[in-house]
Amino acid sequence: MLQKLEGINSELAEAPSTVGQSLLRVRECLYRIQEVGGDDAAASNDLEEWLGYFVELVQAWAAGEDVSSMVPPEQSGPAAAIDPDLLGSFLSSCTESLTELEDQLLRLEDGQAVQDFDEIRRRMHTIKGECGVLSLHVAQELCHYAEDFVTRAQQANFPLTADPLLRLVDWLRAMLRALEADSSSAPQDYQELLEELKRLASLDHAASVPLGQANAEEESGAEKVSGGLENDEPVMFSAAILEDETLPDFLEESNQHLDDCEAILLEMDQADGIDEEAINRLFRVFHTIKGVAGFYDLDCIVRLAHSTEALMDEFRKGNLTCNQNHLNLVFKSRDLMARLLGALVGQEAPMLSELNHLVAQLQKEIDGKGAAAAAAPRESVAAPKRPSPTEPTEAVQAEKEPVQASAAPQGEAAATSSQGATDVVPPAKDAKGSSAEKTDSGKEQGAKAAAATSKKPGEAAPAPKRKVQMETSVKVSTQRMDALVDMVGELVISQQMVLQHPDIETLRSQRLNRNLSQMAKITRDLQESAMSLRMVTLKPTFQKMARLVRDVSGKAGRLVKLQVTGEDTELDRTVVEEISDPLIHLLRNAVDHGIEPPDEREEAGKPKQGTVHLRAYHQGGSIVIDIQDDGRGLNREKILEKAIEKGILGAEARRSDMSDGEVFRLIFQPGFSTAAKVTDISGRGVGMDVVRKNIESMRGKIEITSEFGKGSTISLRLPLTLAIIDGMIVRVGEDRFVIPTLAIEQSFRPSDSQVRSVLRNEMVNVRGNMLSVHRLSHLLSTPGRAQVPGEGILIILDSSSARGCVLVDEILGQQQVVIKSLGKAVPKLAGISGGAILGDGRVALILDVDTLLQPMATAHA
Amino acid sequence: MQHQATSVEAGFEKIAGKYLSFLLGNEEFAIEILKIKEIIALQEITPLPRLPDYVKGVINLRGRIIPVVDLRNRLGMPVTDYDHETCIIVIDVVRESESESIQIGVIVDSVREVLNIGASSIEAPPKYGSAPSQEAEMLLGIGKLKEGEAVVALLDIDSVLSNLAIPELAEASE
Repeated sequence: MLQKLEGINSELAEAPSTVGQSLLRVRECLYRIQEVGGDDAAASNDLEEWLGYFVELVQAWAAGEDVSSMVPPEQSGPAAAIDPDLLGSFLSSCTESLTELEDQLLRLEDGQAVQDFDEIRRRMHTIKGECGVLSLHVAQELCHYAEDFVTRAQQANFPLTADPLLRLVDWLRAMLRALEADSSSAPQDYQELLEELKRLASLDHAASVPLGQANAEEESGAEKVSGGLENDEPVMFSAAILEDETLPDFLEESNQHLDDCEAILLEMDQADGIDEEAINRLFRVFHTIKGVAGFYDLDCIVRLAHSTEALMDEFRKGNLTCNQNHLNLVFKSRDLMARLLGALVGQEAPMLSELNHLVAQLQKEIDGKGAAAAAAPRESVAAPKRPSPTEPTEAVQAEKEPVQASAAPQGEAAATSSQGATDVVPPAKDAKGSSAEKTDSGKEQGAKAAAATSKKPGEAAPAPKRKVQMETSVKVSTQRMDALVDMVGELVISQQMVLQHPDIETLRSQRLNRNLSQMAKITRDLQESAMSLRMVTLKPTFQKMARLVRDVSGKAGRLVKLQVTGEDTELDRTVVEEISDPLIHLLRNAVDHGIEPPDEREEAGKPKQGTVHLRAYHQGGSIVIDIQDDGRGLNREKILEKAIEKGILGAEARRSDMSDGEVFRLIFQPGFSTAAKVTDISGRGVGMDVVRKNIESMRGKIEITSEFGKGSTISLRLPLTLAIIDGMIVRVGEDRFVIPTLAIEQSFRPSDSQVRSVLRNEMVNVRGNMLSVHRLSHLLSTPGRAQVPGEGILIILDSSSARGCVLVDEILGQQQVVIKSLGKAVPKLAGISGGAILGDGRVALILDVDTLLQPMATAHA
Repeated sequence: MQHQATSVEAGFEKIAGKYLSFLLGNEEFAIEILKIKEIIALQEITPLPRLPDYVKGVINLRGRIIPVVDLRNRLGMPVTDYDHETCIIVIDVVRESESESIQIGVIVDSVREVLNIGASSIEAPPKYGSAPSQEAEMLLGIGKLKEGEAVVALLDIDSVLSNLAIPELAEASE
């Protein structure tokens, strides 16, 4: 029905304005009815009246009578019955729409953009529709004429004057402010504006306005623009919005956008040609940030985003070709933006001069194009659309443009400089700031997000994705999440305790059994989903790495291509947090030490551009992250030489009896570096030590494989989560212990012939290797049953720092256990990393293989 | 020790209040009731290696692992077997080094009752000879019960349990 009305509306384009207007009212009544589900008596009443009036009008018009004298029905009071929720979402979406509309108008004025009539009209139309829903008739009317005006201008190919439209924007802003303060406020003085818009809408511009006048109008428009911006400064709603808790959401969202932005930039950096879609995506990132930041009145951010966006727009329009220089500039503005956002949460704020400098640089690029375009005949896509008479105007405009463009932001900058980072804590100007407003703010945000997706068809492509993300994620403090995971763990244990209770086991009730197994299933599912709450993808981390490789390779003078696979692999949040540092070191090494300089690579017959492959995948219950480069590989001889020189190895070690793995492991020694010179990227020999420490603290493992001249691969094997380990449960005497499966090399029952006594130390011969045997009962001073190795089971333990063999009485099984701390009251115990609660509710100690074997390693050294 | 014998009558005002009394052998002790988190039945205890004898090990307190201390052993009394009356009192211990409280369980022979001990019925802990004995340092005072005959030793449980871990902690982490 509404669609039909739209159709009628377009057909009535020739009809007097009152006809269109009354049709609007009809439509609006329908909206209202639709909104409340047909129960609104007032709305149906209104509908009836307006419909009658409309029919009369049309009949009169068709008969050629004068329709202007006909009296419209009484207007129902504006916003009298506005639902606060609806109003909240309207206010936020409308504020944003206005910001964007204003921006479009300004760009139109500056001559930076082709006259994007459709976009402006669409926006006007949206605002009109929204005002209609809320029965804001005056606003609706004004928008209607403005829309008409834009349509006429477009039809007549007339350069649109932004001045009246900007006044409309200001008026609407004032209205929104008034509405926010008091939802039943009456519209302010609008007659003059209405008259002007009406006049403009009915003018036939193309014929009547000479070029010179158009030019003059442009100029006066520009003046008004800067005036308008100053007026915008002390916007009252900003205080109320900044006070509420939605600012962190904005920050988080924006940071996410910036991450996206970085990814896109890196993609562009790698790609040969310039991808239009990528430019569009970048444009949207900055545009979104600008929009929301404008909503919060964060002028610094708006300025930066605006300049960057404007540059993007030039690429989009094809006025500029994106080169490396530009990319670097965008990288810079991304970084500065991140710092500006950081400043909002109390991090060190960037200097204003930095911002100004960058904005100026961006502006220079944009202006550079402007000057060039003015000098050379315009060949841009915009030109052919225009009739020739406007061409000179364009050129003049383009020359003037630098002055205009810089004038406005500069004034803004001066005004904002004093505010700077204090934007976050604005004075509570809005004393009236009603409580309803605050409670609504959350909804407003949500509604705004939704509105952001709906208002612009042109931007629809990326928006749904963002919307989904926002709708499906809830911010929960990690503490509460951990508490939930803990509780679920408890539930699993008590469920098992019930299930294994001897009394229950004797019962023969089928129903009970069925219920119990149902409960077991639910518990298991619950545990799984609780665990999955903690899982996050590696994507953000890998993205950071991509940036790092780009920067480091530039600095080190290498041509490096980073290939990333498996970035969607999920890992426990804590592991992902910890993995970042080691990866940074490893990638730096790969680029700086691994990949050779381009000429060297060419000599070696390799492609100039080196490849670093960052790869994540599951393997046997753990996650493996590979860093593979096709560089020069590790030089075994050099490492041995260096190790002897540093005194890590004795001089007699220069022999081939060390395996490659053992040799390569030397590079993890603190202070070990084969680099001839220390650069700011690497060479001090600290990095690999850090890597080893971090990985081991996560109970992970590092493996290196390398072929000299061909490249090397470093594999990090990490547990899926830090909270759970795969453990082997062993019994020693009465006590049970959990040994992390990752540390177990093999377990076996030794034959008597395998065990030898050497100087009262027992040794066991495992495939030719002699390993010393330790009784776990001795190490942990607990009574064990097996007196000689033949009576128990030997387990070969292997950690990066020690290798040994322990004797246990029995292996009870293997299971995943949740690691728990023994509490702050218990001092740190060598050989014990924590406790696990087993199925029967009892605690078993988890062994820490490193510290367990350490004392004996030193004792036997 | 802030609650030394030097404290005047007003000093006991601070420690007056409700106490939970329990038995170790035939001696009656009491712990300030505000320090007590809960009382649970004796559970299976997982021993910890390389800690003093009185640290019996750890138990699972609804998913949380907490250490338990044998109070007889800690106070230098003869150790006996546990029976059905033996229970664990879970204490919220305040440590200056930690912002949040730490839970530690203490094993006692049996729990008796909640006593209301006024400042007037508290006496300073006894001194044997010149140097205060280690046991006396763990006392806040001696509470006299109405009957006049019975006395109850008011334990300074924070000091009982802090003395357990800190010197040992330094040793064990060496």
